Amino acid sequence: MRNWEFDVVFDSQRIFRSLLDAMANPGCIITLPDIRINNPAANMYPLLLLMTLLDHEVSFSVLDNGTPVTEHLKTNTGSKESKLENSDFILVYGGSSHGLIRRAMVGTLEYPDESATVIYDTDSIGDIDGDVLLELSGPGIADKRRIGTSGIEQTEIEDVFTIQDYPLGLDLIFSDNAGRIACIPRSTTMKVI
Amino acid sequence: MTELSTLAGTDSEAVEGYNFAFLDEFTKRELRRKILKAVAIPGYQVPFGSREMPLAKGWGTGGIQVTLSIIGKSDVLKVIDQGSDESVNAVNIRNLVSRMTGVKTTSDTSRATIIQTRHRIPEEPLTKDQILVFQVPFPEPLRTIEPSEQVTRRMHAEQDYSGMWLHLYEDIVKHGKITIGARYPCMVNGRHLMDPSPIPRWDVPRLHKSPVLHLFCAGREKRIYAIPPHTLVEPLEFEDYRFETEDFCGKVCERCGSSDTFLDEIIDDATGNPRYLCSDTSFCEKRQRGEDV
Amino acid sequence: MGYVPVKGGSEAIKNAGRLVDSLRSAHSMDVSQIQGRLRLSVDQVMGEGGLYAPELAALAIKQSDGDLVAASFLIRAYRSTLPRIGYSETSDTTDMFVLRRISSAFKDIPGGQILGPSIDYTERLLDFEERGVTDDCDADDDADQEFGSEKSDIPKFKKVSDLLRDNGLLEDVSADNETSDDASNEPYDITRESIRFPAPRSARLQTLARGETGAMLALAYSSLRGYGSVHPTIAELRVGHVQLRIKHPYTGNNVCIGDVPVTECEGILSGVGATEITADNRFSLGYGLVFGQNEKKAISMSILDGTMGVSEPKTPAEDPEFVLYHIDGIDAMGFVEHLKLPHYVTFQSSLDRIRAVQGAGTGEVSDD
Repeated sequence: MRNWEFDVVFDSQRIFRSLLDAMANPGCIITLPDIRINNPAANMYPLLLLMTLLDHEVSFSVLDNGTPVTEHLKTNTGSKESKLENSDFILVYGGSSHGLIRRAMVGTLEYPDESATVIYDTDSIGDIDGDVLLELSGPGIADKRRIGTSGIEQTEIEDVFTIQDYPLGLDLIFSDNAGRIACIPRSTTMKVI
Repeated sequence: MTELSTLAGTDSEAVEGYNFAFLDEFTKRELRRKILKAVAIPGYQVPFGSREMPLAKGWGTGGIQVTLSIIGKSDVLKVIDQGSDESVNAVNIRNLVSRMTGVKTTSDTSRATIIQTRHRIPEEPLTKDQILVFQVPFPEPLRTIEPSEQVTRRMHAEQDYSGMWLHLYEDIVKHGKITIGARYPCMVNGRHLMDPSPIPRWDVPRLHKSPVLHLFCAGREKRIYAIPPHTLVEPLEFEDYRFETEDFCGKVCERCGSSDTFLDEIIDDATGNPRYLCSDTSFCEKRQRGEDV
Repeated sequence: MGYVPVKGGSEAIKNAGRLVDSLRSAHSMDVSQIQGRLRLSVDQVMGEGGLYAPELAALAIKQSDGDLVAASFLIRAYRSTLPRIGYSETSDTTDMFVLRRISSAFKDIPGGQILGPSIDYTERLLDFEERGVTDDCDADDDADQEFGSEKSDIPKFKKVSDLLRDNGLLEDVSADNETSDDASNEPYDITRESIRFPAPRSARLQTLARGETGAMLALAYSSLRGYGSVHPTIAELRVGHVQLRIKHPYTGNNVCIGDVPVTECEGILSGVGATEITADNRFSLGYGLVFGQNEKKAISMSILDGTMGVSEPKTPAEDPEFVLYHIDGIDAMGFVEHLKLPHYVTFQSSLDRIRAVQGAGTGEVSDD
């Protein structure tokens, strides 16, 4: 179904700025603007992010939540669904890709930007607590920053670890069901604590 | 079925016949995606489509594409050219953005949320809530030593910057100093060599671990790159031949009396002697008014 | 009094614009006059602007006081505001409604040489009778009718290149990796992606199609004259209308959305004295296609398509980066003219360096 209440001009601009803020300050928890859509999935926030970023020039894939989400994104963005290994954007539900994430595009040394951005639908993101606690450092972080997430499996984080090879790698966005997001781009050094 | 014309956002209520912020929504999306990648790989030049803008190439078409793709209704915009808000090109760019978006504009650095700049970083310390957008003529720091894009891209891929080190070394042998004026090459995050745009060397140390997000865009050369806040930005230098900023020792701005700012040298009509004024006009005015900046 | 830094930029900009107005000394022209009487200018602006819009191109020429690069730039800037809502299907120029077709490779060609609209064979004398206004619109109407009435029964002409190909004289490019960027076989789009090198042929051709006529002419000429070996024989130059078709978004059928006038040039890269022969002993073809009637650009394009295909580039016209990065009129004009902008901050940095070097006293600078 088409979401007429999503304003492609102004809502996507506001969401993008939140995202830019989050990507420039890895691990910093940013609350998305209060924009609502009638959504086919439990958590609408990852969809808002993708409705902001996708169009017919890029492709996406959705892991583990079946057709309604994919159809929603196709209808609302004009973007193409593609195989995971060719996807510019990957949306992961359920906290784990079960190892599939290791096949995502990480770019080439000449064009490291030609790599996937991965959005994880999580239960919650917080400063101090969560199932997985990470300590982050690198660009965008003054010294060190901690972030905790619930609803993502530690093995998933470890899988991402194994393929990050800066400047090659994946850029991660965690999105929780209270409208909070946090980013971990490939430039961030992270360790599980 | 998706209605593309609706997704493109062509029927917004900005200036008649134009979308809010001039660019169509697909173009903004592409820019936004590329900006995020640029932020994720500090100092790496992300290629993008780049549209022709209602400004000549070389006059800020990259900067304005970034500004227009990030700007929203609640932003406050400042535009400077060589430090001045009143330079004709700055006025032209500010008018264009203001007309196409209706956003507020200011010359007050501290009030701006987005600052688009050509060749300067404002003197006043910037905060984490501001974004600095640079207009870039030459995104490729290696272009001075290698004309081919295919070759320079490979050099970045292999982190092969020996040619640039050799260039600096030869400069020292020939002139006794590194003679690069503006556009001083910097290593970002210890990995990518970056052209900081033709800012004076004075401004280069101010990029290092700055609290601000810096976005750089070259419209003609179709490249976007970024320095996120708190990122290592190191000008190339040798242990015995250090990077040097411009020397204004003993000189003060004759308007506000500052001795700690980048100064424009002006030849006095009557005497032919040099006189000095702050390059950052808005800062200079604040100091003249006695404001604490 | 001393120097006063430039202030009040807004007012100065307005006044500068008013002064331009004051130099426009004759009556304003109707855009239709430009479209009807400066048609080659209009065609050039549409080609370099990358947008087929004759009326807007005429408006741009008027607004830019006849500066064609500036007019193309207005069109490009306007083009940026238009969303890309679809892609046309491949047009086959064999189906062109031909106004003009010539071949310099053969004395006669099937279907015949058709001179069409051309001043190639008239003497270049200024016609002083044209100084005033002459009303010869009727002739144009007749011409329109003549071409228009035939459209229902368009005669098609087999292409000279197809004749050569049928005889096994032309290289087969369909198997060439460079013609297809990836498995999807979609052409590269330089307006959506920044060009990268080595550039696929589709990206090279698209860049050439938007290139500045004069810049391309100069580079093509340099190859003919001696900085290169490519010197083609024109298999066929044709001017005419081709239909554009798109896939209907709902029915999926091909529908015609109109036709555009184009000039097409196919040059056999034979060389004069030094015939270019491919590995499998065949000729190769340089290709040019531009909006409207712009024969010098179409020919230049076919030459540069050929020069950039040379396996071991030695001259400027044979270096794809050199050609493709420097033929865009809008890029070149903007960047050359940006030197008019203030550079006093950067110049201050240079002053500081030259003083430092002089102060360091290596003795080498004092020779300057």
